[in-house]
Amino acid sequence: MTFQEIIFHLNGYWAEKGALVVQSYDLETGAGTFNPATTLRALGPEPWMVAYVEPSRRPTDGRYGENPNRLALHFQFQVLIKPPPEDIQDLYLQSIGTMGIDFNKHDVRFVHDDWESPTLGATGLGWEVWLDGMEITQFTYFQQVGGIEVDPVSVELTYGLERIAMFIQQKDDVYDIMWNDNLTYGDVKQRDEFEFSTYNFEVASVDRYMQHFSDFESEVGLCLDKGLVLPAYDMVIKCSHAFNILDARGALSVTERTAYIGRVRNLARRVAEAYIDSRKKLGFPLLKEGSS
Amino acid sequence: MSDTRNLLVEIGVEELPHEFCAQAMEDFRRLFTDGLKEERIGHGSVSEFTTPRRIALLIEDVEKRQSDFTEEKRGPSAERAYNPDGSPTKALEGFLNGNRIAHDDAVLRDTKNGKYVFAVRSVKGEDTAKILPRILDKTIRGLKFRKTMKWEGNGFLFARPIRWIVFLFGDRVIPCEVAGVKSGRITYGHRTYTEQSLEIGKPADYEETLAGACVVPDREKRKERVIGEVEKLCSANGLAVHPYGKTLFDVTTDLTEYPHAVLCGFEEHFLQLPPEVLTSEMVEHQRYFPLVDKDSGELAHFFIVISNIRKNRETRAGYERVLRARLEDGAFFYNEDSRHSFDSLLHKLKAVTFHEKLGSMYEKAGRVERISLELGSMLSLGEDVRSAVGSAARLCKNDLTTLMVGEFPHLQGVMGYYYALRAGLSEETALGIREHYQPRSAQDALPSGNVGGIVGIADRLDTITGMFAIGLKPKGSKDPFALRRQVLAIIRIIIHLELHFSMKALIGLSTGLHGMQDPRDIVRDIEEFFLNRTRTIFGEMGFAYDEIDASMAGGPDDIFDAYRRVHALHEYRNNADFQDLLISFKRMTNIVVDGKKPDFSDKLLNEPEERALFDHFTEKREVLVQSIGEKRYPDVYKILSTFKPFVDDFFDNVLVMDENPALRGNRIALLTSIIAVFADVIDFSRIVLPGE
Repeated sequence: MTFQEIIFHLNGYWAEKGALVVQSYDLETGAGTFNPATTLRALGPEPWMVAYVEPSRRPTDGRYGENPNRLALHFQFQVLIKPPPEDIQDLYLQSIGTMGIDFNKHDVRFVHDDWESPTLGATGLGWEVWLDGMEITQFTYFQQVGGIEVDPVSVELTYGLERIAMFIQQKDDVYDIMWNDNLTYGDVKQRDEFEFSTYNFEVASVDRYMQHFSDFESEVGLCLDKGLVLPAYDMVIKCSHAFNILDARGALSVTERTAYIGRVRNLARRVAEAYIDSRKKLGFPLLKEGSS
Repeated sequence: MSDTRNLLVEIGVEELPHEFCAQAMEDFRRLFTDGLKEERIGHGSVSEFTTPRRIALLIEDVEKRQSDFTEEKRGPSAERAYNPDGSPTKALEGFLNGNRIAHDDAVLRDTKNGKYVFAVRSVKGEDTAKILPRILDKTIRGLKFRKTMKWEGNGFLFARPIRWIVFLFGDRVIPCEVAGVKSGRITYGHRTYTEQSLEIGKPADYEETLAGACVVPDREKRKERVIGEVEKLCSANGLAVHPYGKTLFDVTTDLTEYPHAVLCGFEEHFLQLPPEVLTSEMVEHQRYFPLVDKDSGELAHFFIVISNIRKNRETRAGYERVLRARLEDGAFFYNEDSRHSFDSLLHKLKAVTFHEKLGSMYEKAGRVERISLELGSMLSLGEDVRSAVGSAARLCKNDLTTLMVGEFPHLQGVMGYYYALRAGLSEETALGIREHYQPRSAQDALPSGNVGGIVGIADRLDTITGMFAIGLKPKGSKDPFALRRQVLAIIRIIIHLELHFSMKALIGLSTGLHGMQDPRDIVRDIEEFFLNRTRTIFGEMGFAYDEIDASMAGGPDDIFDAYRRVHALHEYRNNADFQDLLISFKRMTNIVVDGKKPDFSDKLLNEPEERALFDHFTEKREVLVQSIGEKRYPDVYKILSTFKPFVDDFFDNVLVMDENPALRGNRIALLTSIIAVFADVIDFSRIVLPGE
């Protein structure tokens, strides 16, 4: 199965199970969780079931295209379901079992992991899913988002697409993954890794990114004052990315780092509260009648 | 024996965190059987089970009915219950009606407050089946976990979602509902080998039914199986489990339902990496058992994985591939790091912040070096040791800038050791770098030598004085930099390595290195912090607080000396005679307190008992002073005990407060000089007498 076929498969599988399939967000996110289809939709009482691919930027994980396992940008396949179905573990296992992974020959395990996103003020409990000792998915029941206790709870599945592809294709090097029948992951992405690693670690202007951070931070307030929650959340994503660049540049001391994380979390909390308010004003339109 | 049935209860869950399993099983048993007892339901033997996906109990011979019992309730007193003519009062009638009993069932009983009416009612036991649901409900709600979560609409809290409940009493299902899950007789076997649900006919079938579905529910049996398989593979291949892997027997037992040990290997060239890197990867990340050669004890290029499915080639290849990727990362880091000379890393520490107000790690290392060297000379160490102390202190943080420590923060110090050796530094210096972090926890080993101990003290002291200097001293429960624990580590090192030095002097030096205008107040604060911490820590070591106060009256200057004083006092205090003696000496201090020392003349000793005390004192004085000078405290207390008969006689027969001021003054002077000799060892006035 090629890299793109894995994505087709997961899209098809979850669409068939009733998920809304959306596209990746058009801003630099650090993980599928940052996409508003997860962060915001996990808030409030409205049911939600969504699946999408999210390109996830982790500047500090860049290795100039030289490390077989690490990338400054990787792809996550994200599923969010609220409320969680009772057979969610089985649904998940089927989603990878139907890719041809034979559980008679491969040892699948749910190894507990307490997940946390300090910038989003989000926490959850769940597992890393291991396949023969390799972590291929993060499986989380959200408990808090934006510092708010979620009710009902959502379950989040985050598939590491490169890991799964390496597993299925038996590759030891991420760049050897076949993206389609002709081109490898390396053909498509290796140069990106080199250029972005260089930019993130060596070139990005620290002063300007600090300025960007403050600007976007102010913009959140401006948006919220006008009741524009969704643009406000975009600014939170931009802040988070600016922070990630500053972090990769080694520009932040330990205490500064903590302070920046606190600032993003604070913004995320304000937006989360405003989002619930705004959905409430709309009458929580996705709530089916009588199911409140 | 009354009519009984077997009982089975199983809570099916999504995978429990492995560290919760054993405790949850024990708590489940305790809470459920407590519940039976509370409800007066007898039972036979209990077996408990747990796997990642279940917690279960099989209880044999559970009585079908609660036992009957007689309930008594006290009503009004006889006077209030009956009118003078013997007819019942309103109060009595109210009581009888309220308890729904007839007049004949009320009896009069004597109590210590007089005669009272008692309602006596025999209660028939109810059917156990009716009571079981509430016992289970209470049991499940009573299970405590370090972290719980919500997953369903009612917001029920548990470690992980509950997905099924089996609840059988005999062959009957006991209906109940917890967290939206209804009980039944359906359970689930191994995920891979049984797709279908399993029906349990009766409780006794439980273990066998699951065994048929590839689950070993008995935790002990599963653990034995893990141990057995690991040992079999080891002995067949001349291998043994690395000590660091021993904790994995429990972990892997709680991560599997159907364990199989698989022997795997990695390329031999990875053995050139420090063994700690390899074992960290295997144990911390992968839960693989690292192995050593049985004869040499050297790390082998083999490892064992506990699989949850039957052995096959593909699984093994997968386990090996994951570890290889990690080891390649490790090898890459190790070689990259080794390209820089270890010394040169010092300058890279300028970019690592210790604390924004206290500068970089480079500056910290400089301060640690100063403090370490000073401590080295206070301890009068030899030239070569001091030179090792200096290098270890200067380089102790260098590995923080290495890739390996970036990847494995817990290898700080360990990597410093290897990189220092690679750079040609002495074993003593390298070991000092490694051990200056020890002890990391209450269980961790202490530094084996003075170099690591001294640098460790200096490093921690620098953090403490620095945090105080910028106003971040611990307050109440807030101690974000764990300064209290740092003092504990310092004290443990001092005692372990038997280091005599002036902590006050070192605090003064260290505080002075933070560039404050006037550090005097801060120094006082830090001294007080050390004093309080030392008292608390000595208390935690089992010494009584008056022993500590009596032995530390001079403050925590030489902490090891204070420890030895309090230790000697504590040992002697178990002796009853010695306890009496302390009381007598405390009496002396009460007499001489705030009295200026009057002149003394042995010519004024006119009672035989005071003469005897004086003579004994004179005889022992020299050896006493010598023992104290040489800090042989057990000897000091041994000599002190010889005073017992003389002191007793003295107080029994001599009146200190004689009418004659000359005699009075002379006696006070005698007692004052005796106490004064002990002043450097013990302050008797701090001893708390029983009942005080």
